[in-house]
Order: sequence, then structure tokens, then C-alpha cells
Amino acid sequence: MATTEQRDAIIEELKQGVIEFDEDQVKAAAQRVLADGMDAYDAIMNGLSAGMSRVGELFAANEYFVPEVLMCADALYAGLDILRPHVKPGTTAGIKGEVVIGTVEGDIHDIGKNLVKLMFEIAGFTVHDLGRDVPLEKFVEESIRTESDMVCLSAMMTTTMISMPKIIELLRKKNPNIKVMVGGAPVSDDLAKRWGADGYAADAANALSEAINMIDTLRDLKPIG
Amino acid sequence: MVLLDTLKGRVASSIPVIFTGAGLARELADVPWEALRSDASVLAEAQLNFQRQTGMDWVTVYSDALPIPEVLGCTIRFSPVSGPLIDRQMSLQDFKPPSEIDYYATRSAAAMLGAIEICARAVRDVPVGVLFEAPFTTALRSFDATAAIKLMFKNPGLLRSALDFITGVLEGFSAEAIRKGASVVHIPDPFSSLDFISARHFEEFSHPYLTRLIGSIHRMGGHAILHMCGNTESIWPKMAETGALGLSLDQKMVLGNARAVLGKSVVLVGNVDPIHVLMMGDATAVRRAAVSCIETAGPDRFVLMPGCGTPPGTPIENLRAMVSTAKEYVV
Repeated sequence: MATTEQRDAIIEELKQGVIEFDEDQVKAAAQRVLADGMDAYDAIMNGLSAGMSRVGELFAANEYFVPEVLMCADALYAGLDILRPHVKPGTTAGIKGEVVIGTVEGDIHDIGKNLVKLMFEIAGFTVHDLGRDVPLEKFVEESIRTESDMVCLSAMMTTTMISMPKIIELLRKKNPNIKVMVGGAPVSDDLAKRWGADGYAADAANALSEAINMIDTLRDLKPIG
Repeated sequence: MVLLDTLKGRVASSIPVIFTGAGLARELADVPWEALRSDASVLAEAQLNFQRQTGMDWVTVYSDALPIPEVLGCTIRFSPVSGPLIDRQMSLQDFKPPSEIDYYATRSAAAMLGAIEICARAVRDVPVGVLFEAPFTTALRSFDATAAIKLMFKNPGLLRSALDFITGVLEGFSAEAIRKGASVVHIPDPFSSLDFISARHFEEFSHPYLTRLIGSIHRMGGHAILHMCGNTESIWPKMAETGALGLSLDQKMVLGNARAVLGKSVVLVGNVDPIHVLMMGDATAVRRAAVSCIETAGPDRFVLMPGCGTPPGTPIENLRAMVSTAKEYVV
């Protein structure tokens, strides 16, 4: 059993391993978590997830860019692969909501969408990723099938962005309370408002804070069991 | 030839105006994507029609961003929403560069080169331009982008080899385009933006290849305009160092700031908002935005252009309003 000092040191190694995108360090620290009988969920939340939060701050401060974040994500997933199977049942009760996400039809650019997905996952959301070049109707079908709280639409091209208001309209017809977030290079806050979206994600970190606000609003409307 | 005069640093009779936008040209000509990117006469007529309808100061031969990735070996499929898409990105690790490049063996590239020749014969009062993406963006479009980006850290030598090869392919394509009659080469480089990579990575993986390509284009008698999307502020001097005659900036950038940093050493190109103003605004908003650009960055050493490609669905009246504003602007 690890002492408090040993536990703190291992957690710090996980955190720094993510920040410095050192996969080997993360894997070694994750193995020590298991070998020392530490709580895997604690290591994920206070090590890996805390590291990724710091990465989000560095991204927001223009110290990290997309390539650095992708490298950090690899380190994070390397740790998650080792630790996740050892999380005790019941310790992930802090799920914040269910989200359907995808890049809209005609668009194959998915790096931004994948970063947003990653931020949601580490914050405890359940993410249903439809991938890229997703037909309009698929967003509606999946949001109904999964009873999700929110749908996130991503587009990198002006030609594909213009399908977003159609998807929002279809979603609203089926579920007036569904929250919709849009994002991607050509999208703006102004366009999101015009199309009736509930939120606009300027970047992955902003997407997460918007999502939390939106789902909190939803829970004010209808209690989620 | 106000565009060439301006790019060459001469005093032009009016402020040049240019647009790019294959989707809009296709929409105006009412032709299918498949024909636009495979038939030189269809592509030429669509872009000539775009020039005639707007009165802009070039004919730009461009069907989509994918002919060069196709030359490199990517396969294409068509989306009913956005037209051509890369069906399968290649793996950079497994990529075997072809020993010989034949641009005419790829229909879309051959169509562009054929269309340049047709356009060059058809117009005398405006230059013919050609558009293809920069080496770094072409690499990320052609190869699995996420894996290619990680090579910056994991195997930079492999990424540099690919960029070196792609730059050679683009130099060869430029030579053919210029030989067929193109005099302006417009090079968008959206993935080199600081919204995506750091200034350090731009210097390492984009700038050297841009500089080499632009140097080749100028030695062959062409005139290069470099366009970057998003935030580019801290790399403006480096963008100018590539030797591009014109720097085209996104609407997020303040042209007056760029002029203050760069002085009159370079022609600034931009940057009316293509979505909120051109596509969604009216002619009054377009005129106001155009005048603002001219007054902050021009009127000399300046080309009026949207901050990026002009989207399909943009009212033609708005484009005409932008052209007439520049033509009527009294220096």
C-alpha cells in the first residue's frame, strides 16, 4: 500500500507525464498505481485529468497548440488504457451528461471535433461519437436513441457549415429541449445565435465550459434521474 | 492589368479586387462538381463566367483543393453537400513517392492546366491565376492529418522528407501552370495558421518550403500571393520573408496593424468578412467594409479581397458592390 507521499508522487508523475506528453512516464506511473494498490479512479481524476486540465490552460494561453494537445491526449489515453479496467464499479457516478458529437455531412476534418470529444470524456461526459461526414438525420436518430442531453456539430468548411441550421431545426422538431452546440473554423458566436444553437465553441476548452453551463440549464428545466 | 501592376509595385489605375471560390463559380455556372474538376472547358467557362459576372481583376483557375493530393495518390469521392472529398488519406509512414510525376495523368490536375490555357486565350485585360494549397497544408490534406502532425515530435525527419517531396511536386505544377498562361499563383495555407500550430512549428515545417516554392514561382515569371486563415499576427514578418508579393490575411486580422508592422514592403490583400458581410450582409454593409479595408491598408500596395474563399450562396450583387466600391474609390 502506498503512503500519502508515495501516492502524491505517483499522481504528480501522471499529471506531468500528460503535460509533457511523455507516454512512457505515464505508462510507468499507471503501472505503479496498480502495483501499489492505489485507487485507479483517484489516479485518473487527480493525475491524468488534472494534467489535461493544465494542458487546456496552456492551449487557452497560446502556449500549446493543436499538435501539442494531440500529443498530450496520446499520453492521457495511454494511462487511461491501463487504469480504466481497474476503476471500482460505482466510482464514476459523477457523470455530467450524455453528448452526441460529429462532423457534419460533407466534411472530413475531425481534429477539432476529436479534441472537444476528449475534453468531454475526461470531464466525465458519456460521448457518442458519430465520426465525420455524418448525414443530417443521423444526429437526430442518435440523440433520440441515446437520450442525450446535447448534440455537438462541427464543421471546418463554409460549404458544410450551412447544413448546421437544418440539423438544428430537425433536432428541435424531435426534442425541443435538446441543447445544441456548434463549432469549427468558419462558425462564429453570431452565426450560432442566428441558427438557434444554444452554444458556440471557440475551442475545445470553451466547448467544455459551455456544455456544463448548458446541461446545468437543462437540469433546471427537467430533473435528470 | 491592375492586379499585376499592384503586385509588381507599380501605381495601378484602380484598386484591384479578387475573389476565390470554386463552389460559387460552380453554382453560378450551374454545372456538376464532377464536370468542373474533370473537364477543362467546363472549369474554364465557369471561372470566366465568375469573372464576367463580378468584374473582378483576375480569372482564377481552381476547381477544389484536391487535384494535388490526387496527383500524390489520394482517391476522391463526391459528397452531395460539399462536392469532392478525400476518400482515403494516405499513411505517411507507408508512402512511397512516385518516381515520376505526370500531372496530365490525373484528370483534375490536367483539367486545371487545360483550363488555364483556355482562359489565357480568352482574356486579355485581366491576368489568369491558379490556386493550390501550400506544402504543409497539402501534406496534412493528403496524409492522415493527426498522425502527420504528431510526426513533428515523433519523427520530424520523415515529415520534412514528405514536405520536401510535396514542394517539388508543387514547383513542377507551378511550372506547367505558368507555361500554360497563369501569371498569378494564389497559395492558401490554412493549416499553418497560429490557430493550429505554433510560430516555432511554422518556422520549422512551413516557412522553408513556402520560401522555396515562392522563389521558384518568381524565377519562372509568376507572381505569388500567400493566404493564411485565422490568427497570423506574430508571423507576419516571417510570411513576408517567404518572398510572396502579396500577403492575404483572414478577416480576424486588422489590416492596419499588418501595415504598421510590414510597412509598404509588401502588398496586403484582404480582408472583407466572407460570411457575415459578403454572404449574409447587404450591398451597403459590403461597401462599408470594403472602404474600411482600403482606408486601413491601402489605397496603394493593396488588393481588396475577402478574408477567405467566397462561399456558395453569396449574392452576386454583394460581389459587384465590392468591385464597384474599389473602382470608384478616389485616391
